[in-house]
Amino acid sequence: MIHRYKSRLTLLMAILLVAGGLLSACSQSSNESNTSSSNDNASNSTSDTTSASNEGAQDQTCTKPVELSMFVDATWYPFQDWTGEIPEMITKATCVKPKVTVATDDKQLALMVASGDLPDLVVSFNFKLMSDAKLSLPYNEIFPKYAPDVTFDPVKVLVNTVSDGNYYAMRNDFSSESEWKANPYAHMMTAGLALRKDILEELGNPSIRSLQDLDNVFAQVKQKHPDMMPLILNPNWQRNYFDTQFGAQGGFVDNGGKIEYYLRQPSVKDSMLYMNSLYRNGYVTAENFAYKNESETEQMVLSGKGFAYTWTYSGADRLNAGGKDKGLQFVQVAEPLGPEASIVSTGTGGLGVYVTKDNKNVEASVRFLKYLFSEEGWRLAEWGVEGKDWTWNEAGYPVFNYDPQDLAVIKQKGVYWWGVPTETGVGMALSSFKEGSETTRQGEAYDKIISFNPAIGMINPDTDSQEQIIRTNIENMVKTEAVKVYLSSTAEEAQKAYDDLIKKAEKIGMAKLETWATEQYGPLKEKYDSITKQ
Amino acid sequence: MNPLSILKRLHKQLPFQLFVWAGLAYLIVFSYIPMFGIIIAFKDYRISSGIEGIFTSPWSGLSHFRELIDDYNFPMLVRNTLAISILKIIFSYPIPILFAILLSEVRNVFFKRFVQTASYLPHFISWVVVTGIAYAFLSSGYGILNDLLLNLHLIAKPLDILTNPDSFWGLAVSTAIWKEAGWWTIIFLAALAGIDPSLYEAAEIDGAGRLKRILYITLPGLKSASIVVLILTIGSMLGGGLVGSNFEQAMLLGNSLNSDKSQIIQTYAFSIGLAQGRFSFATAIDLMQSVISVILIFGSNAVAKRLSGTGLF
Repeated sequence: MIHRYKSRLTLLMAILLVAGGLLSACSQSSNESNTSSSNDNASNSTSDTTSASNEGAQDQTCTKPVELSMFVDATWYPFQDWTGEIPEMITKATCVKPKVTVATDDKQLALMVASGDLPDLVVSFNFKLMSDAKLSLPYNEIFPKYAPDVTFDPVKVLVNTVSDGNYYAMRNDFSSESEWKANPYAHMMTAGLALRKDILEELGNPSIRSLQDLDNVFAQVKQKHPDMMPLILNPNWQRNYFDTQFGAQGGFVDNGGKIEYYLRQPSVKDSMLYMNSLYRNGYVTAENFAYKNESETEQMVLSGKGFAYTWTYSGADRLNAGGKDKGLQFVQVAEPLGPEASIVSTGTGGLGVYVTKDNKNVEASVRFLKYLFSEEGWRLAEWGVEGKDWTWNEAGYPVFNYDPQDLAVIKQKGVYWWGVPTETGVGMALSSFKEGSETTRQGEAYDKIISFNPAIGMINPDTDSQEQIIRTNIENMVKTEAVKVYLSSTAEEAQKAYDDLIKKAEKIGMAKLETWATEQYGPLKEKYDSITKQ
Repeated sequence: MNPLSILKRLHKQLPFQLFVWAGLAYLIVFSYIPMFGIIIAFKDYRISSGIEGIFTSPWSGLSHFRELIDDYNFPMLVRNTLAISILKIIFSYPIPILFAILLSEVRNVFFKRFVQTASYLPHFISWVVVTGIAYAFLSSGYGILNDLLLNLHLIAKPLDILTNPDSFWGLAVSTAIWKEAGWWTIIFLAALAGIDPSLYEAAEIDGAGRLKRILYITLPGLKSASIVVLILTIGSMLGGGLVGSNFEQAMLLGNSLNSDKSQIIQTYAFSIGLAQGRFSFATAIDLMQSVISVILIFGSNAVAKRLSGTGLF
């Protein structure tokens, strides 16, 4: 009996070991097949499409779309797959069908990179990581080869070119100054402040033209509604609105051709001390600075706990949409509060679509990207079918036949989110234009105070470089030290907390970072000016 | 013993040996082979160089360790990590023992089971949920506790437990005890079950009262289990010991207001190392902490052996 038991057990173990061996062998062979297919790269690209020409968007007889694996490195991405009417139309036009995987955590891309297991396309904000010849194929090589008729805006090429002279993506949400100026209905997104309309009316709709006026309104709200917080700060947009009013910028700042870190700017100090005055006057709670999630603060506002809320220029419209059932109405403080208010746009873009080294069909990938970068393709992806889903207003902005804020409708159509990775700054802004909306009201007023300097945004230290370490350490320090400024119990203490913050930044190496940034800035600014002033 | 007889013995024990080898293979593959990765603590590793970069990256000596020690936050990080960990050992270690003794003395079986179940259930709740519960109860803006105390006029203004740096250590220790003490009680209840009942009967006949029985039978009976648990606790002290979760608590209950007391070495490794893709630096921080933990394990084991004759190895 014992002998039989032993032999059965041995047999079971042997089976398990053999099964394990087979599984590992299978995994190896699948890896090998991947490697061999990736080695072929573009050579076999036309095998499964009957007319994979370089023309991109055109009616083709596509018998079997090329399937490309596409990884979206954004855990919050609302679309998880390539389904719906619009994606199907894109597939029909390009004969490409992406197989989408959306990141489940922030480290997934880093692990994929480390393991060398990359998909065909990567959609990511991580410009520094992916703009690397070891990981991605340069657009300046693959586009001339497979879509020679495509030319990119030289300013966009410049802001996306990295130190090896290549550009590996055309990041979204960026438009050159000339594009912005050519599109008067495209208003750049800015920080905003939304106020409760009913309470403003109760106070007699006081005019708010300066920070002093705003303070007066907060004081009245506090007096008349002691249970309500005059101001609730969105954790992602805590100081941005007030920075704008003081003309304070973030990141690097051009001070007569020399780069300084923003913390040093008197305007930043003024903005921080103003935040302290808001706290000392009881207009904002200390606990507000502990909130990490903007939906938490949004709910507080929508449940009537706050009068004003810092967010973007579309804050009031979004709150109005969210608070429809509760009957709450919000309006933006549309006009800048004083002559110091200014914004310097230094952005160079966000999401990029990277064609990886392991891409098994570069030609199809370029064809797909060419279509999405084209006006026709991008508008189809982001806005839907022209004439059916939207129409051009004579003035030059789209008018939608569906509610573009309704996620259920968007998901069902598959519209908007697959246009986002290739949208331009102007394109995105046009999507938000709505005659008479609060967003548009602020957008129009703030356009007057925006200037452009993307050369500053191009100063980006390499990951792991000494400068990047300094920058990260300073920003981590600021997260805790700035709160000490905001929550000081007297103006003197706030000033001292600010001085301590600067001392700590100096100790971490702020001056060294500025010297390095100034060295980078000169040539970048020169290149940028030479292109834009042509 | 000649090789032939060893083979014979191995053959005889084949089924059991297979279990042992499978376990060993698991340990080697998942615990020992990945340890090669530790070398990136001494290298300038970049993620884009892939797995082979672990071996091909240039050496950087102790630069990552130096960077950590030179950081202006380092004294604060060490202070917070040690303070939270030591406080957790002091307060969380005796509680499961006391709780197990109290439970073993309860005669009403239904009540005993109810208390036991209710006390270990929080173990299965994730820290994210515990943090949510903490906010619902303790928030100065909308917390139930503050509402209650304000309405009872026991306080004039809300208590800022979640944002006051001075209350973070207490908050971390108390929430960890609430969550884990019941779970660890099971270990000690198992140890109590192993005590020969005849000892209690004999003591009772000899006239020993309940307190004397606890003092002279229960406590000595728990000695071995207590020492083993203590050594393991000290070994994992920097992670929070018995009740663990230093990292989760610091990440979730920590905020920019209480960060002076809530930032610990692990959160620093995460935000400066992993979140920035600086794997070499993150590895160096973790390695340093692991070395300290190993020293603590060997140290506490040696002390325990010398004092009580009982040890882990």
